[in-house]
Amino acid sequence: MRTLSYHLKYISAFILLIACFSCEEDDANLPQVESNFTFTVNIDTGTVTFINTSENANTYVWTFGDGTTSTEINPIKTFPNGTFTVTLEASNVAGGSNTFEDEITILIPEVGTIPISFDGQNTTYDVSTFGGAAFELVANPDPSGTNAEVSQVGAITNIGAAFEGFFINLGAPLDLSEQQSLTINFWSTTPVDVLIKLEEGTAADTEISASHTGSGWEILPFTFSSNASFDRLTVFVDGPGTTSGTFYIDDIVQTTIEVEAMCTDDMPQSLLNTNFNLTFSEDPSAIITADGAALTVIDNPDFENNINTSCRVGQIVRDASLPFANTQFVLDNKLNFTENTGFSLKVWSPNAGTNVLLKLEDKTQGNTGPSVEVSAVTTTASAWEELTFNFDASQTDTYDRIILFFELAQNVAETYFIDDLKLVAGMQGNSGGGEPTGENLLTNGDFEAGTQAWFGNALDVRTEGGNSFNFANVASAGNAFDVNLSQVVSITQGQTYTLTFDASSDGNRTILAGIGLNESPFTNNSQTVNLTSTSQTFTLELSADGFGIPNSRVLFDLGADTGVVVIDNVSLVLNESDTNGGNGNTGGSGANLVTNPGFEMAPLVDNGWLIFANNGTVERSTTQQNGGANSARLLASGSGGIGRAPVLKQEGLGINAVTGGATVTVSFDIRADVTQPGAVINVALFSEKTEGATRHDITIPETNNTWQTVTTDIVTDAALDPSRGLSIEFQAACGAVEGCNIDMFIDNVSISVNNTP
Amino acid sequence: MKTAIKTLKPLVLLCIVICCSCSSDDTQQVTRLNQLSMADEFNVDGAPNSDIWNYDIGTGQNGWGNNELQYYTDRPENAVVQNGFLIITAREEDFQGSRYTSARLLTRGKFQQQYGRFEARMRLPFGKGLWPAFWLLGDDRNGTQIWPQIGEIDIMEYLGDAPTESFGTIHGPGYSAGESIGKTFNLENDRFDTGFHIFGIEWGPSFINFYVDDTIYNQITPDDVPGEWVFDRPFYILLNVAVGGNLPGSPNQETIFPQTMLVDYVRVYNN
Repeated sequence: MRTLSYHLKYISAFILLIACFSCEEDDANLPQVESNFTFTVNIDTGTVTFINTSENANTYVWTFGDGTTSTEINPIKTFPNGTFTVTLEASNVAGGSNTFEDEITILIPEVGTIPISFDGQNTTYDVSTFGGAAFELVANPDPSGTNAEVSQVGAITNIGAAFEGFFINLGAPLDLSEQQSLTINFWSTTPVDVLIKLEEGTAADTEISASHTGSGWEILPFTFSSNASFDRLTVFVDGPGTTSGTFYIDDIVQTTIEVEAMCTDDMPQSLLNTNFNLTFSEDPSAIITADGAALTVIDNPDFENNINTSCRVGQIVRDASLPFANTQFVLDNKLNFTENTGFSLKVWSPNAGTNVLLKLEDKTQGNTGPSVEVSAVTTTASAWEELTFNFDASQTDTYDRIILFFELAQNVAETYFIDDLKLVAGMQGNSGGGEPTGENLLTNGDFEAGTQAWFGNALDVRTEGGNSFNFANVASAGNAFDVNLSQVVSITQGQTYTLTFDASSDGNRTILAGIGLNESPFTNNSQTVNLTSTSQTFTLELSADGFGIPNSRVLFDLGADTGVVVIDNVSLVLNESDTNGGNGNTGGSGANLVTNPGFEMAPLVDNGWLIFANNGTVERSTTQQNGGANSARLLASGSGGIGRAPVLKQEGLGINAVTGGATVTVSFDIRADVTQPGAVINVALFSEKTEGATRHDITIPETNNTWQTVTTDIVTDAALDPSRGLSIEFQAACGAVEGCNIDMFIDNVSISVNNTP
Repeated sequence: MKTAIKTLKPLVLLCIVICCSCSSDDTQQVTRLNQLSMADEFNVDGAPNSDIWNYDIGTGQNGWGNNELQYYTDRPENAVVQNGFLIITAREEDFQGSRYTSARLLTRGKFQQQYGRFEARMRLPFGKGLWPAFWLLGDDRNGTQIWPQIGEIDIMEYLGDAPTESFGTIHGPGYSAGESIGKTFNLENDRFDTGFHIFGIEWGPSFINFYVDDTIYNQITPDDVPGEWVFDRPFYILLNVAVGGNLPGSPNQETIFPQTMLVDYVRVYNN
């Protein structure tokens, strides 16, 4: 900028002289009003921000085409879907005005929900990915098979990480109350499992997987065991695995899939005298003699029940002309009734009241020799039921022919079905004090049937020297659950189970073993055990505290440590609620109401128990235990200057399950080292009432610092409030006396309702 | 009208303009170049015409060299054409790690021209921290040259907390950033954020004239710059609304979002 004149010379050369005389007369005093506006639209909400671009105006009237108006300069308005004519009348102070109008079309995109075709013209799909997977919408790359349509599909690209996938936040919840199934079209060229998990629901998450054979487009079905509504659908392609590559998904549709009920495989049949079990898994005709009641092996005509779901059964057609029509089973050797109490037999009769008679004979002597008969009568018509036939031990080693009569001495023509005629193992055997005596809840716990019933990425059954076992070798440590061996088993909440198994490694390492849910949230009770190169038998007492459904499992999590894991002879047994070790007391008939009864779960205060130290100590202890690894220790020791009375208590037992006047069996193990004077052990059950409680004191014997089992029946107070239930309290009390000392241990606390008035 | 002519007499050498201003976008009076070489009137609703405009996306290096705070996008939320206007909207929202979003459109590789008249009719945003611009950058000769050697002509820059002032500036080697050459224009009895105004340059081999509406307020010639005159190559156009940065400072409590810059047209003449 030097001199003004310099610049003016330049400028003057460029300037145009323009005169404009086109204005109308009434604009002489005031400029003409010009109405105009523009706007921006938030397409997701329908909110329109108007931008007023009128000239020479002071006041404005907007009409929005939906009956509403505004006098703001720049109004903001939210419209529903539709087309609206918006008018702006702009005015100046002299009364001049001008109007501008424009049409606004609002089309808010829908958020995709089931059914999802990925083809919605005005639909957004709220997809997020996790774990490395990528998702995009693409044209169907392979219109063929179950998805021949040329349309948009979802492309999922796995990088090969475990548990990668994507989820769709649904525009409207997926309601499973009427239809529990989804189908999807899924494309893969390698066999892969696809898992769909439903989350953000009105109840617990639910998930199910389906297997793709790798043949391109296939329809995969998913049937969920939930009736809830869910806002999020998550898809894992090969969730726990590391399959990488691109897959395609399309046509997520809710449907009803008729789940065809399936019969279950028959247990292996035995025709031996020692463990006779006629399951019809194989044709037993070689040992059968029909005497007017022919037996043929057929498919179970009625397997949708709880008694007999097996696929193959025996059909007996009784000849009406023969009053003694029977079917005979001939054994190689004599039956033993010291080890067995008799037979059980599943029967399907068209009639209740059908007489079923089991007669035993010596096959060489026939009906001229010794014989014994036991009969039973059916109680239902046209349904399976199980009958038992008990034989006395004195009948041992006498009989090797079983003869089955229906409606003996009647002239009845009828067709019956039978199954699982088997010897019932007796209770006379030595079961050992305190040992669980129930049957193994697991199938194929010894792996002799290969991989049957087991699952998990650690499943690898090997056979050496005639023995089969599961073998895993963990190369690198990660999450314990990364390497898993499981079997589904029904777990009942509140019950305690004993898990027994043999395990070894190629060195020293740990594994986790336990029981838990086989579905989200996978709640479990597991313990770490230390393996060595020598096979050990581990016995774990595991309480199903706070979890337990039919879809539960036994689990071995091997992934937290490296090295070989050999597992064999796995059994899971439901512990008898009577914990007194078989010394004659009768246990309660109901389930144990006590949480964490063996003090195996820590900390106690988070697992059922209340602690009041009262100048003493209450702790979970491994110093002593009577089964399991832990007990509770109450210590009233130290100076006698003050009173010490530590208390261990559990409240709210049997809420809404125990009533006033019920008989309750209380049982626990106790040992105490007591130094007098001034020491007293108080144990009491309380019937909690609407106000206060009634105390039921339990007498404690002299334990002499050895484990004693105390079992007693208590009738609850008639005024017990079922909404408050029962409480149990253990107290080790020393008065303010020098020398008083109590070191007390409690284990295996059981409270069960025996009978209800 | 006689009296009007009389009062204008002293200015007749400079300029005689008598205009009844019936509409606001009538022909420019301060320029002589009138053969259109490019115009975008923004008459087609939707995304800006991709035959003319590109987008810069993201935050650049160090907030486009100025510690600017916005993330530039090509979303309709930040740049859209509606009812005859290009609307560039600066929004306060969490986006890709930035606290604001906005848009920056440019004609690089699509429209570039050496010399001529470049002008745009615009209504500017308001508030502390808003920094809109209508500007030109020189061709980098296939990446062989970098700023400031390529040259920069800021036809309009403006700070949202000074709504009556705009400034026109040039940057070149030896006179860039703080040493750039330019001048502020003060709008009398009006504001840039409440109405439309025309911002332009007329550019020849040895001069650049800056004008607002019908007023030329500055001329810059090679004699005015302390370094090399680099305005002898094709330049491309940029339109943007920056938020924050070294020049405007950050938005404050009184800054209202969203803020819009409306562009009625961009026109370029070459004769």
